[in-house]
This record gives sequence, structure tokens and C-alpha cells, in this order.
Amino acid sequence: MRTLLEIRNLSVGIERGKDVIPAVRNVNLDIRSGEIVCLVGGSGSGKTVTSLAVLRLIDYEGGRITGGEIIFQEQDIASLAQKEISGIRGRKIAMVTQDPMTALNPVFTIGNQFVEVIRKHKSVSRSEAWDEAIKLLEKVHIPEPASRMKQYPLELSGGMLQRVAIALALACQPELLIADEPTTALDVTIQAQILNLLLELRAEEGMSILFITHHLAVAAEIADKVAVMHEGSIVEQGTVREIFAFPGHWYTKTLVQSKRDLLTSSASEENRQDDEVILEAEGISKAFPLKSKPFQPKRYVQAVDEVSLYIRKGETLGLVGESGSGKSTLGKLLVSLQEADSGQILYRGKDVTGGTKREKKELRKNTQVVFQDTFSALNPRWKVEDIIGEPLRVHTRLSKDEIRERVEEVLQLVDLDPASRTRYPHEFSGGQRQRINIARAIILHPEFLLLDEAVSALDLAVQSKVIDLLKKLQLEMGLSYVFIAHGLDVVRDISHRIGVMYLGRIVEIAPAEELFTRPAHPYTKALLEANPTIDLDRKRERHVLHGEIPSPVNPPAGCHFHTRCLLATEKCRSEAPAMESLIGERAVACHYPLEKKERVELLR
Amino acid sequence: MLYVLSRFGMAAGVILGSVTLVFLIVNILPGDVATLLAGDDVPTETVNQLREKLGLDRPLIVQYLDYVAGLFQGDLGTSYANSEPVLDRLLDNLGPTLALTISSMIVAIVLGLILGILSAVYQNKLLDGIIRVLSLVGVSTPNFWIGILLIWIFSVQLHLLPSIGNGSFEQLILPSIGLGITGAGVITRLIRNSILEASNEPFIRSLRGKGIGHRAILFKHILRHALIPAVTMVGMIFGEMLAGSVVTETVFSRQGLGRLIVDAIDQKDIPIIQGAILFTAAFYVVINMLVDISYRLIDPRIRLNEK
Ligand SMILES: Nc1ncnc2c1ncn2[C@@H]1O[C@H](COP(=O)(O)OP(=O)(O)OP(=O)(O)O)[C@@H](O)[C@H]1O
Ligand code: SF4
Ligand SMILES: [Mg+2]
Repeated sequence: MRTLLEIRNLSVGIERGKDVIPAVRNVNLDIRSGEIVCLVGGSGSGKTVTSLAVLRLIDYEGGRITGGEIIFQEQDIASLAQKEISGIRGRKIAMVTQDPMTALNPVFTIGNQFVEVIRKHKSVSRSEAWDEAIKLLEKVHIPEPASRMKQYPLELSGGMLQRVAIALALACQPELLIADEPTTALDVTIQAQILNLLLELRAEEGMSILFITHHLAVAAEIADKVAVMHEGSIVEQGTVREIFAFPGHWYTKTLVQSKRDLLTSSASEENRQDDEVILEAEGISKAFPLKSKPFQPKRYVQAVDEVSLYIRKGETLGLVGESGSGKSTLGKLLVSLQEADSGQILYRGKDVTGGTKREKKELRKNTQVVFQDTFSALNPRWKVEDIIGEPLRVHTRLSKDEIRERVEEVLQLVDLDPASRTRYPHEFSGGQRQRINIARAIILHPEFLLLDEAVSALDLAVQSKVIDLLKKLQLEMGLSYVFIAHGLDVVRDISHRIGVMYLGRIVEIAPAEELFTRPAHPYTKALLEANPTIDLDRKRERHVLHGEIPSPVNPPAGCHFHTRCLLATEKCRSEAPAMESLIGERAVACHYPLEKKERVELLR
Repeated sequence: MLYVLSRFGMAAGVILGSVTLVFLIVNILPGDVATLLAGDDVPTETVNQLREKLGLDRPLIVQYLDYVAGLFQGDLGTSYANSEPVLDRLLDNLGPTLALTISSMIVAIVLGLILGILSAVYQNKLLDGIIRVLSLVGVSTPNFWIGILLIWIFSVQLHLLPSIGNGSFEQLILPSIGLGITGAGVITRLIRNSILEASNEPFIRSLRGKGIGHRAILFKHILRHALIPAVTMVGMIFGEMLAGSVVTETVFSRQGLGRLIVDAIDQKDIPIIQGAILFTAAFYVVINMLVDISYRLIDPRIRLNEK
């Protein structure tokens, strides 16, 4: 194979006022034609800056190439003038960006955006361009492409939009596609679909792909070659097997190790202390009204539909499921941040759904929340001690000195320097800010913590440290957690039991290990199969779940999952399966649970 | 469609509301109109006759209903001062005011767009600095002051343009600039900020990555976004201009609705006051309705969100 792109000693600086801060240093990378190369690394490691430099888009974002060459088809992109690059950009090298929701201009139709790009590069008429666009959409398996052309980006789901963005990038049959975290904003099921699509397109079109991700397992799934980036340099590169089986550089080693730790450990039953049930939900439901036109019947999104569950003292219950399945809403109902429409929530056996103000305040004290966004939860103008101490000021009558003492204590508990209490949030890294959030949540010694995507925004290495902290706190304080996350591996790592949600219902609930090794619900199995893994020997014949989660406004009758289930029968289409207990603590809502081997075979 | 209809309903409601409000204010104000009109030292008899003639002896509610019923037949009453139909007086004065506000609006939009774009393109350069200072001055200086300044420079000192009266195009230039400059300042600042904001949208990066040229990105994609807040602003600026025309017409001795109102207030010519305010309110409402509708054309997200 010939070499398509050769990056030699590339250095890029970002201008900050008068200074130029080096963001990428002496990067060397080759991409051969037809090859998929993954650039892997933590946030801020320089992956995106490198890719923007290849297209010289970095010039528009306050950056400048300070040294080295980018040889593409015998031309050095690094030394071309902006004018000369326009023949390459979009035509020979195309780009797909991270968040499909913001990658397209929201005020133009999909069709218009295609026509603009196609006609920029080819001299064709508007209607020819239109027809070509429809073919491109077909190529990325968009259903009903002709009608999509007339829609606005807002009307499509994230997965669909990412397909559109890929189709748009393919418009001129580029030889190199740069994909910057193209699946990070998507569900695992949709991610698996997009990864498959990219592999398929590579085979059909023979193009090369520079794939950027922070997600090791995704790299392991798709790459031929992996380059690991850390603090602006490529610290190691090699084939997938070389990197994952025999990592050389210390940074790669820690990355691979923290991923392996995730996979092997999972909160075992032994370290749960108690059998006492803290929180219990019985048939709780919540619907949100949709904005509707006058004179039309109100329509509702059934976000949570008749869910029952319990959480013991010192136990973690994980919640997984595709976006919009109702995880966050369920979490908020459990801590009374939102009120259930029906059903009961029992806290230590007492119904709290219709409590008095004082009871509610007491409950708030005992149940705390930590969300994903590490920044917006923290008032930027407050010192850390004010932020962490605030719950004490609201709920107790401690003196200033006592509060300070407690704050220092709790800072130590979350492994932060007690002296840092006088600093401001922006002086901390993402991981440290999440520790501050956790400190604030535990200062009142609550019994129950809702962790909604609490570690999702953090890099893998940081993530595993925060998870360790959460486990330690659980043991020391006997805390119970409801842990919500997109990453299945993380949920497996921290949870004792896991509930799988689909369109507002819990379809399966089971101890973590059992759920991962012997899923009983077809949806659980599909989720697990979509989950990428770095275990190269477990390359399996993947069955990718087709289609997307249906609209929660009008969910399919019977079993909600029947539209995507390979086992669905007439009964499934008309009759909703009830939650039934299997052996031990397992329960599943399916007419034909996969407890028997024949059924598992059927799915293959 | 439903939307457009409901907008019309709302517009009618607003106009009727303002008619009612003005009617109440004018009639509740202290001072007996007939006495005021008749002047001092007139026998009570004459005053009473006048009151009867004007129909002011009837209960307020009857006067109100009579007035509103008249409105629906296009009858806005007759002027106390010279017994002409109010509608005719208004229509005579409508033209000059329309010409003034529309040309001021053009000044505001054209100047605002050009300066705003320049300012954003040359962000933090000298030109941007100059434009930002100018637009700040434009926004914070009162209209009449700018008017007087313009007269002094262009008429008194340079003898370039006429300062007063209406009729010719030249006579329109100075007043439109005087009235339009505040709006121009507001639009300049708004366009500059929204262009800079839109330039940071992630899709701009992907457009560049697709090889779309600089110009197309600025004028098609970025500007379209920047226009969305600017269009809303136009409706508000129009209201300011209607209010400002009262002063501007006085400063430049122009004929127009503004002058008519000022004179009518002097002469306690209540039907004229009411009619002029009705006209102004209707104007304002219509313009804002157009703004709302065009807003939805520019930004499909608004339409889609209602689905
Ligand atoms: N405040 C609200 N008003 C209206 N609809 C809402 C509201 N909150 C949630 N929904 C809807 O309820 C459904 C469930 O949402 P929820 O946020 O609980 O899902 P989730 O599983 O947490 O998704 P994600 O993984 O994206 O966080 C969605 O269809 C959502 O659009
Ligand atoms: S009930 Fe039927 S459709 Fe639903 S998951 Fe089970 S087999 Fe599939
Ligand atoms: Mg959520």
C-alpha cells in the first residue's frame, strides 16, 4: 500500500495574546491508503489540533503550524497558502466532527446543504446535485432519503445526523476521511452502527480514515493502527495488537490497565454490608406533556412507566439504556427532585410521595445528587469552602469554625488538599471539580446519592480514580448509590445490581456479573454486544441492533422492544410482558427470556 | 396558517386595547374639555351649547361605544379645531411621516449592516475600534441633539442641504439620518456581536472543512444566523422611531403625524389626538407582526419547535 499522508515533525502552537503556546510537538504519523489509523488520548492531548492542522483549519482557530511537514500527494499542506488548499479540503480530505447535532447549519434543509457542497466541487446542476445527494444518503443507509432532504437537521436524531454528516463528507469521494470523535455523542447501539458503516465504506470506497477517539475500546474495534497521544506528543504507535497486548509507554500502560480493571472488577456481593432496604419504588410513573397546538388533544411523553425497584443500604444500583429511555427521570423521581404522577416511593419504609415540607427537607438532606457537568454545578465566584459548606449553612446551625472543620474533613475524604478550600472552581481540573461536587454531596452524611452521568465527562484514567473514590466512600459511610451512565463498563465496575431501561420501563434487573455474563432480555444482550471491547480475542460475530429507539410519545404496543427484537412474535406485538422473577435476584420482562440455551442460539 | 390568523387576532386586540386606553386617559384627565375649548370669560350657556354640540354631555360609556362603532365604519370623528374629518387630516399627514420613518429605517438597517459586518470582520483592529466608538455615540445621543448638530453642520456651515420643510428628497436626508442614527448604532452592535457568536458555531468549522469559501460562509451561513436577533430588534427600533418622529418633525419643521399630535395637544383637539395614536399603534402592531412572521421564515427552528 502506498503512503497517502505523511506527517513529519509537526508542531502546532496556539496563540494566546502575544504568546504562542505549543499544543502539538514533533508529531510523526503515516497513513497508507485504505488504512484506518486511530489517534487515541485524553482530553487536551492535542488530537483535534493535529487533525485541524492537517486541513489547515487550525489557522482559523487561533493556531499556527510552527514546524514540520504534512505531505499529501507530493504537496506539503503545511506550507501551502489558504487559497491553494481549497482544492484539497472537502474534495480529497473530508472531515466529520464530534457532535452531529451542531455539525450542520440548523437553518438550512439537509438537501440545501448537500447541494451547496456538491456544487462547490463539481459543475453540476442543482437537480443533478440533488439526485446525487439522495444516492449518498442511500449509501449510508438512511431510510426514505428523498423526504429527509427536505427536513431540517433538528428533525433528525443524533445517529441519523451523523450518517448525514458522513454522507456529506463522502460527496466528492475523498481519499482521506478525518473523523473526530464521530461516535462519542451517540449511544452504544448507534455507535456500533456507525462504526460498521465506516468499515463498510472503507471496504467499498477504499478510502483511508484518521479516526480520533478518547475511547480505547472503540479504537480496538475499528483501527488497523493506533497512535497514542499524550500532552501534545505521540508517545507510542503500532498495530492494534501491539498496542493493546504489549503497551510500551507508561501512559499507554495506564490507559490499557484502567480499561482492563474496569472489565474484570465489579462490585461483588461481599462488600455490601447490609440487607436493609433504604429506598423502594412501587409502580412509579411520570409523563411530560408535549407542547401542542390549540384544539388538539394533549400528548404526553411517558418518561417513566410503572417502575418498581429497591435499593439496599450500602448498595449501588446501576441504570443503563439508550438515550431518552428515562434513566435521568427515574433518578430524579427517586430523590424527589421531580414528583411522580402515580406510584409510591418509600424511604426506610415510609411513603414520601405526599410528604410535608419538613419531611421533604429531611429527605433532601439524606438524598443528594451529582450530575455530569462539573462546571455549571459550581458557582464560579464562590470559594470551594463556600460551595462545599453551603448545605451545612442551609440544613444545620453550625458556627463558621465548625463548618470550616467539616469542610476540611470532607476535602480530605475526597482526596483533595484541605488547604485548597480557599481556591475557586476554575483553578481545578475536571476530575478535581467532580471531587468537589462529591464532597458537597456527602458533607451532610446522606444515606443515598444519585450519580447521573457523574463520571461521563472525565477521561478514562481520571474516571477510574473517581470510581475508586466512590467505592471507598460507600464502604466507609455505608452510602447507597443509583449510578447512571452511558458507558456500560463503568456501570458494571461500580454496580452491585443493574437495571436496564427501555422506553420508560425496566426490562431487566439483575446482579451486575450475571447481567453481563448471562443476559436474559434480548435488549440487554443487544446492548452488551454493541459495547466495544479491547479484548481482541473476543472478536465476535456481532449482531448490531438495527434501527433506533422509537418515539416515547407513541411507543409500540405490547412489548415496546418488539420493533427491534429478533425473537418477536404475535404475542409480543399485542401483549406487554410483565416483570417476572428468575432465579436469585433476577427479574426480566420478556415473554421469551434467554434463560434457555436454544433461544440464545436462535439469536445468532 | 393558524399561526398567522392568531397573530391577526392578537394584533386587532392590541389596537382596540390602545384605543380604549387613550380614550380613558384623555377623558379622565382633569379639566372640562368644553370649558377649555370655549376659552375663558364665556358664559356658561355657550359652554353648555358647545358641550351638547360635541356630544360631551352623554355618559362616557355611550361616547366610547359611539366612537368604537364609528371606527368600524372608518369614521374617526371630526376635529374640534377646524371641523374637518379626523381621517382626512391624518391621511394628509401620513405620507410625510411614513416617508420619514421608512427612510430612517433604511438608514438604520443599511448603516447598521455594513458597519456591523465591517466591525466583526476587522474584530479588534483599528476600524472595529472606530465603529464601536461611533455606534456607542449613536446609541447614547438623543435624536434631537443629532438633528440640531446635522442642521448646524450641513445647512448652516456647509450650505449643502436644506434644514427644514418637506416635499423634496433633499429635505428628507438630514431628518432621516437624525432619526435613523440611533437605530443604526443599535443594529451595528447587535450584528457585530451575533456575527462573532455565530462564527464560533461548530458547523462553521465543518463548512470550512468541506471547502466552502470564506465569502459564502460569511454572507450565507453566518449572516443568516446573525440576522435572527437583528430582525426582532427592527420591530423595536420602529417603535422608537415613531416616538422619535414627534421630536424630529418639530426640529426640522416637517409636516407629519408627530407634528399633528403636538399641535393637537396644544389645541386640546381630542379627536385628532385619539386618531393619531390609533394610527401609530396600528402601524407599530403591523410592523411587529411582519417581524414575527419573517422571523419564522428565517429560522425554521421556531416553526419546528411548535410541532
Ligand atoms: N422536563 C421534561 N419535559 C419534557 N420532557 C422531558 C423532560 N425530561 C425528560 N423528558 C422526556 O422524557 C424522556 C426520558 O428522558 P430522560 O432524560 O429521563 O432519559 P435518559 O434515559 O436520562 O436519557 P439520556 O441518556 O439522554 O440522559 C425523553 O423522551 C425526554 O425527552
Ligand atoms: S417480549 Fe418478545 S419482543 Fe419483547 S423482548 Fe421478549 S421476545 Fe422480544
Ligand atoms: Mg440522562
